[in-house]
Amino acid sequence: MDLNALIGQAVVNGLIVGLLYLLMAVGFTLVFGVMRVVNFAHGEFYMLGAFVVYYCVTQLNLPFLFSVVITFVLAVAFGWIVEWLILKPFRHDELNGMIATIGLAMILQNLALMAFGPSPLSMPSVVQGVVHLGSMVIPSSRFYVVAFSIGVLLLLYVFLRYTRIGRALRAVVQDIEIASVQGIRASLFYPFGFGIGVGLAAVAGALMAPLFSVSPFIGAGPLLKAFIVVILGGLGSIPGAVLASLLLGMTESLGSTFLSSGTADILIFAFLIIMLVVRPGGLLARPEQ
Amino acid sequence: MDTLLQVDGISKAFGGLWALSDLSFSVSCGEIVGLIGPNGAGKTTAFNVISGTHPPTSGVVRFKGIDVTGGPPNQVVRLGLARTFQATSIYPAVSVEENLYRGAIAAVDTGLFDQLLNGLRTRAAVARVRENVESVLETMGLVQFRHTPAGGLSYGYQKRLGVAVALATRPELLLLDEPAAGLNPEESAEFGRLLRTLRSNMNLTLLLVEHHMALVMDLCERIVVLVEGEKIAEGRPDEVREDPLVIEAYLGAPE
Amino acid sequence: MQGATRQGYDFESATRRIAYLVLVVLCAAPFFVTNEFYVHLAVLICLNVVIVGGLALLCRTGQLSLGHGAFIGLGAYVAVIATMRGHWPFWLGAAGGALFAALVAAILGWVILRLRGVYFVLVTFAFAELVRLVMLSWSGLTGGANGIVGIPSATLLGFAFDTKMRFYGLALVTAATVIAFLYAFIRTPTGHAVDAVAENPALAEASGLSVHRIQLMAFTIGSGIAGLGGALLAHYVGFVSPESFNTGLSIAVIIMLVIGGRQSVWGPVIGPLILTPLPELFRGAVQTQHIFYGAALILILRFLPGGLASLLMRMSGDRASH
Repeated sequence: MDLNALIGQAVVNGLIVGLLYLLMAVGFTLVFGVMRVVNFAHGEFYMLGAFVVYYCVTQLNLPFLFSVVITFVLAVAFGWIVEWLILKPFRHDELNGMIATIGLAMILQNLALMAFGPSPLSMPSVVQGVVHLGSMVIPSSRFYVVAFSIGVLLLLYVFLRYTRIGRALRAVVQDIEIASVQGIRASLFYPFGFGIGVGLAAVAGALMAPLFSVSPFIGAGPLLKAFIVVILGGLGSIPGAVLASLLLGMTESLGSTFLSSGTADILIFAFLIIMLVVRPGGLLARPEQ
Repeated sequence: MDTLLQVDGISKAFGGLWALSDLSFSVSCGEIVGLIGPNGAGKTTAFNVISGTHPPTSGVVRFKGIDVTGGPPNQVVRLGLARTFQATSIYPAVSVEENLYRGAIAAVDTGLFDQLLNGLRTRAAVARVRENVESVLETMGLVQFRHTPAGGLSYGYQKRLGVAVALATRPELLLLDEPAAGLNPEESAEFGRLLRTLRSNMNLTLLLVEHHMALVMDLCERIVVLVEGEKIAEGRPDEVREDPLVIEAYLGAPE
Repeated sequence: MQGATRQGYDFESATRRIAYLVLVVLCAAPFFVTNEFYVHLAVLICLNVVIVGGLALLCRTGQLSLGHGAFIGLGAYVAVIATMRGHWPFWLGAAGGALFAALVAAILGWVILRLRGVYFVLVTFAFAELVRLVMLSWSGLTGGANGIVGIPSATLLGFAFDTKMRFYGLALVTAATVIAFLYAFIRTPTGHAVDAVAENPALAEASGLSVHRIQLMAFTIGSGIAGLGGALLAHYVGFVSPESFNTGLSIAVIIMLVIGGRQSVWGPVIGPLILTPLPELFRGAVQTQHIFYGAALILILRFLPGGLASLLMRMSGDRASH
């Protein structure tokens, strides 16, 4: 494969991966924006999403896309209940809320371990074959993941921008005091925002389930990626998350194509720390951050 | 009279909004100066810039001749410029005495090692701090509350404690951000008397932001008027009261 | 003053005396039991006290680190490499490990401590991952994924701590020193400054205290203590690998600290004391055990944010936060 094709392939792979990271990060940053809580259990909702879709497709024989929708709905409902039952005392208590989500993550992961066992399960792929783009070869399944991810993100964009509830949610993220003054019932938005946030994580897990294996341990990796994205993009900033996740995906992909993946990771972390020195608020930070 | 504080051409922008435009004034030793203006005029922003909490977009702040523009706040305090906050800032979980102790503790600059061993230098420094705390307790009339948890104090006394904590840093210039907010006229007058006593007993210079016109007119020797980030008038209370610009912008509505 | 105003039974100071007595008995017991397993537990408890004590110092300034495990690991690896490759004596290696961990924390902290608390935690998490990756990749030095085995026992002036009982003596002394340090530290002027920074950083800064400097100091010393714990751990277990010091360890330390108590000097004692033997209670039901930890964490945060130590403090009439 010549160099251009190699780079092209890496860029495309990077964009694909970046989109998944974006799904994770947007939900994560949404939860932080609404509740000011760093949700350590975010990765476990990703994991649970993968399991729900696995169950729907292999046990209930439901079509894949329909299963993803079910996953989202269930995750939003579950997230709502969890926030209301467990996290309510920690709203706006950044430090303790974060520790509480650590506890939540442990509970969720170990419940999954008890229910499903530690062995990785594999789902049949959604589509077979490959797609050719010029001289690049992309497995169709990945291509479909990209399409679905973009679809979900577009829906989210429309929701946040054009629906009344979505605009209210954005207002709450931006400034909860002003939002309350405008009559938005902030107390409803905590469980709602949390539900949507973890719902997005579950969708990311559901979309990735056919590509990789499904096990109770798959949550940790995406969680770390979500952290990196929000550090780079700024906590609570959705545009920042977009920029940072695509950047991260591409850097990882290009890095692991031309260097070893271990070196690529180390470079990413080093870049992260440098970024924090130069721009503590993230890539798109306003100077007043 | 020496100039203690010199504010030169301070401008501060937040995004596209100019909170302060080319603000200049000075405060001399021993003065009580008031900074007044309608809500949103930029008074607290001016305090934030002067105390080093926020750097200005342009301009210079000089304290005792030293350029203190941009802070950091803790070093500005160590030079002798202290401030209080609009929303009363205290340590609610601990006693009044501990609040003042924490306010004064920056004066202990012995190393950790000496402190752990309770060495002579540390003991001497702590003794000085304890003396300082005692004197502030007395001056501010808080002796009977010394063991009370600060969060349990009434609003008026919490405000007083906020000022006391700032005093514990042994400042030469004290910036007071709306110290009489929420006080009734009687409490407000008593507070004014307290401030005058502080000024003479502790060699203090005061710069205060206030809305209580009665207190300002009575207490301040000089007044700076800020409207939408710009200084529109400066002078003695009687001068400022007569100034047509001020009347139009601010004093038109009865306080 | 406490409790002495009542005639008859002074519950509070009796509680305090009993607590101290129990502590002394617990400390002495491992020297007299024959079952090696209990001595082993006692050693682990002491090492955990050291490690949790280090985190407690940082926590007192209002920050939380998810990278504590990495500093334990840095101390362990440096001490072991110094001892086994550099042929340094044990105590020098351990000191080197602690100092290296402190140095790395100082550099990292100087850069990231000016971040808001939340960012700080995220970065410590990412940093811990970075350290783990470096440990894995730099296999020439660290042995890579296989780690380093055959670590010799700790020796001091020719005396080898090669039995569990002997090592317990070393671990106990170290743990006691760390707690004594914390106890003294809390009472120094800097200790008061730390409490000020935790409760109201803006006011602390406005009173002449440098929040950054104080948090950096706590982060540096606390991570150095973690490094010391790591060095001891390595010489006790005889083996280190990158996976021994991953995020799981950082989380375990946080759990011990939160349940033990973040405000009190006894938190780093009570947490490890109660949680280290817990796996025995669960007899291999690892998942149930971890669910218990998660639930206990949430419940303590909700209903007893000062941890179990605060309960003890209340019972023994200690109204101060120490």
